[in-house]
Amino acid sequence: MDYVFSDKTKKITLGVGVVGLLLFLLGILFDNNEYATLVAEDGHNYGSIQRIWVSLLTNSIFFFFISLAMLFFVALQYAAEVSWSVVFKRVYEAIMSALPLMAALVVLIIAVGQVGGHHIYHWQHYEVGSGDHLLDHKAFFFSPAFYWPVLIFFMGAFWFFVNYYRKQSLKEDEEGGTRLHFKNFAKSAFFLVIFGYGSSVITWQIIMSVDAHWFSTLFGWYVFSGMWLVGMVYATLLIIFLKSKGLLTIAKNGHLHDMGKWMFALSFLWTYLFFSQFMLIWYADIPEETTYYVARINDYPWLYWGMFFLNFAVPMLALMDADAKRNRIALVIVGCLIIIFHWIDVFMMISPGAMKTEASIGILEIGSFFLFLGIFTFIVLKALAGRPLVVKNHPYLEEGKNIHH
Amino acid sequence: MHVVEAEIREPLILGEKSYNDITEDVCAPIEGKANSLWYFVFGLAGLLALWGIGNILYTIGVGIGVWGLNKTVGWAWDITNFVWWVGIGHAGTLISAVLLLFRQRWRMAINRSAEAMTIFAVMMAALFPGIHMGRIWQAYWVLPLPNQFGSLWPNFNSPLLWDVFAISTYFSVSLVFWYIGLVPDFASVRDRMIKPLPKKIYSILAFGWSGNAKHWNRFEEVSLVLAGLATPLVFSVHSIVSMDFATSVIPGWHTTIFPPYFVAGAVFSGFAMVLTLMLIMRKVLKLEDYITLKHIEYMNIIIMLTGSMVGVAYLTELFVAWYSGVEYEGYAFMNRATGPYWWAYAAMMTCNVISPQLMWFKKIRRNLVITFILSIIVNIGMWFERFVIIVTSIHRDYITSSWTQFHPTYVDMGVFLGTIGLFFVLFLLYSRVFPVLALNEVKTILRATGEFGVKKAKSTVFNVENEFTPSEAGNAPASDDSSEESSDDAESEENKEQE
Repeated sequence: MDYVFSDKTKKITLGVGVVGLLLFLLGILFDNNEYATLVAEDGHNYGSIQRIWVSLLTNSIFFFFISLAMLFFVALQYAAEVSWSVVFKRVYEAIMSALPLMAALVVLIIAVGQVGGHHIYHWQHYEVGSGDHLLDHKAFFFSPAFYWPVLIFFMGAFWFFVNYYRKQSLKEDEEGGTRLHFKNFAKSAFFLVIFGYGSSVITWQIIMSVDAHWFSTLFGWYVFSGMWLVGMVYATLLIIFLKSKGLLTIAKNGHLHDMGKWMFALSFLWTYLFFSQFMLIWYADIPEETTYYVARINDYPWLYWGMFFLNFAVPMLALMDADAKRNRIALVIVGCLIIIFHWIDVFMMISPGAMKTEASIGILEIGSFFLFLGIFTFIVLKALAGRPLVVKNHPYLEEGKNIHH
Repeated sequence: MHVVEAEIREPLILGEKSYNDITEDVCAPIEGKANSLWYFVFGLAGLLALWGIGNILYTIGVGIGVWGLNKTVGWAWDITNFVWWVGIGHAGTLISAVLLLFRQRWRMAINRSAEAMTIFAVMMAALFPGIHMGRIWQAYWVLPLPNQFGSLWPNFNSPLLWDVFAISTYFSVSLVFWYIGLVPDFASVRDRMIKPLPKKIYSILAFGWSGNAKHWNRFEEVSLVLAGLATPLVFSVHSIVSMDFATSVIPGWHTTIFPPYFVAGAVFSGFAMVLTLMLIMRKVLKLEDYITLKHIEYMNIIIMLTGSMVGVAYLTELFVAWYSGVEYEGYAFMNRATGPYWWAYAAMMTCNVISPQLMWFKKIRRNLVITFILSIIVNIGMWFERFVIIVTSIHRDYITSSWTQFHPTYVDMGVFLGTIGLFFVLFLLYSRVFPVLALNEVKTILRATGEFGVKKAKSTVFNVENEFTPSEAGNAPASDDSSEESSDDAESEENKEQE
């Protein structure tokens, strides 16, 4: 049975978006005044506008990553000849369908900064040669002639592959055979190469450059691990939603268990990379590197450490047990917590660099999150309803269906 | 219910084997006599090992002044060799634990030998910090024992001490994991032995294994626990090795990407060594039906993948060395690429980043000769990687008056060659007296992935759209159905229980 995007669900998702929008607007009107006089060290007045743009950028990147993670995961499943995940392939494809809009928003928000609309990226407003020797040194990397073509190229490549996979998937339903499958296999390997470089490079461009003086070689992989995790969590929640509607009967508890394993394992991967980056910078104690953590730990100790410990401890303790990984309630609770605290992770990557000590999570930020959640989920469900819920003719479908007893 | 493999998967066991064939094939080397080639290679490895032991004793007797170290380069070949061997050791645990979690059935043909390789490689690795201490008879000082040494407690802030813990844990768990897996197979060998002395030895090694249901149940449980323990160890060991360097403030050493990048590099070099060994072993011990071209292809793909990850890390380091604007970091990388050790850097880049890209071609992935050559090239490249990281970062330090070069002495080289000899001595002995394939485990996948009837046709023609039903599975003896069912269930049980 296929998924039907009922009016009720439409109302709920749009309702979430509208409530988010209202909160967001309320936040702008009533909660934003104290930031009106925020002045940066370089004498630039951020104005009350900065906080709005930071929240929009945080959400655009967060939801863009969810789509991108699914695109990566589908390619990975092809390249690794995986069968169990075939039963969820349409779910992954639906989630990646929001990538074009989210990628466009990310690009748009950065472009607004380029023309002076906000001051998130310090380098966008820096005149080369006016005294900041680090930015002078990096001038080439941040020059529009280099920055924009690179960013557009990778975003465009991701966009292209989203369309490619979604189109091929329907075609395989009709055509059958294995010709398309092997074509997808080859394309996936190619995509993974682009992704391998692209995910790191765009992370430097859109996130690491907020703290324009700071650098860390691990940063790209660290961001990637969190993104992959959140993508898997969103997919798991969607699968549980579909199961609760009595759909997706092809997937057994074992398949859900496999999703739970990914949540568990990727939480460890994220923690491992967080720790590796943090510990090495803390241990070596080089001022150029520690600035990043000083800004976060000194000014936002509870938010930052809370984010780390909960992102580590909750999945570890709650999902350690095998039965918990197939328990829908446990997965939903842990999944929601992961989404909240990884949203804070992304927020903490951007805000301290963009707003110094003045960042906080108020109704403005909460509203913007729900605004994006509503829109994102609406797009995903619409895409999901537009085609059969389970693929046909995938060469691994039979094996994947029966792999769990 | 029977797990039906997708038709497009190639069989993992060729030649329409029966269960008995598997036992016969695996036990043949143990029961037969070694040929003259084995004795020749063993003799050669033994001579190298003796030469190495001589050099080690000379080092211990005279002191590490006999190495090429100097006041600027205090770490060179010894630590390079240490990291190289530890890295090689990673493949065994990855295959036996991580690939188990990912339900990769092809691991079963190679896990036994890969784990043996891990254990021998870690032994070789552990030698180097030991002899580098100079006074190896005081090696126990690295352990936090209650002592009378006053302030000479181990420094818990030092990653070198973490290394002691990480590697000894890794070695213990790997050894136990390997041995547990061997117990049922030792029992199979024991039951076939005729001569009393070998029978006695194998029966002691088999721990009185009788193969009853209770034994299998315990076996599965303990294997799961050990797999769960071993998986984090795959990551922790080389991460901590990388911290030996990355916690410092030396340009070229201190970089945050080191832990995951070292792990990728370790798996990369480990699989290369597994391939080197397996390509010889499958030929000499006639195991081509079990370690098939598909197995080799999978290993080559992992080499390509991890090689590319290492490549991304190299380029990230280069980029950030420039991007950071830190002059010392920038100089360290300029010096690597264009300084007096440019040739080592060029060798590392060619062997590790460029050569694995050949694996994109299916023809090359499945070509035994090219694969063998590439596996050795990768091992050479990974040795150079460690040499580049270690020596080029310290031979030109902050004080230009102490800039110098490192020149290895014959003792440096002798110890290194000696460990290669010793490694092969151990591996060659292992291949004569141990069941080199997890024969009881391989039997559990025979029905699902063996080359029978329909499966055989499918392996060459992908587009045929027949229904594959168990009844068509051909030659598999019907009487084995029940045992096959139970082992299949056990396997799914095992997957379910993971983590």
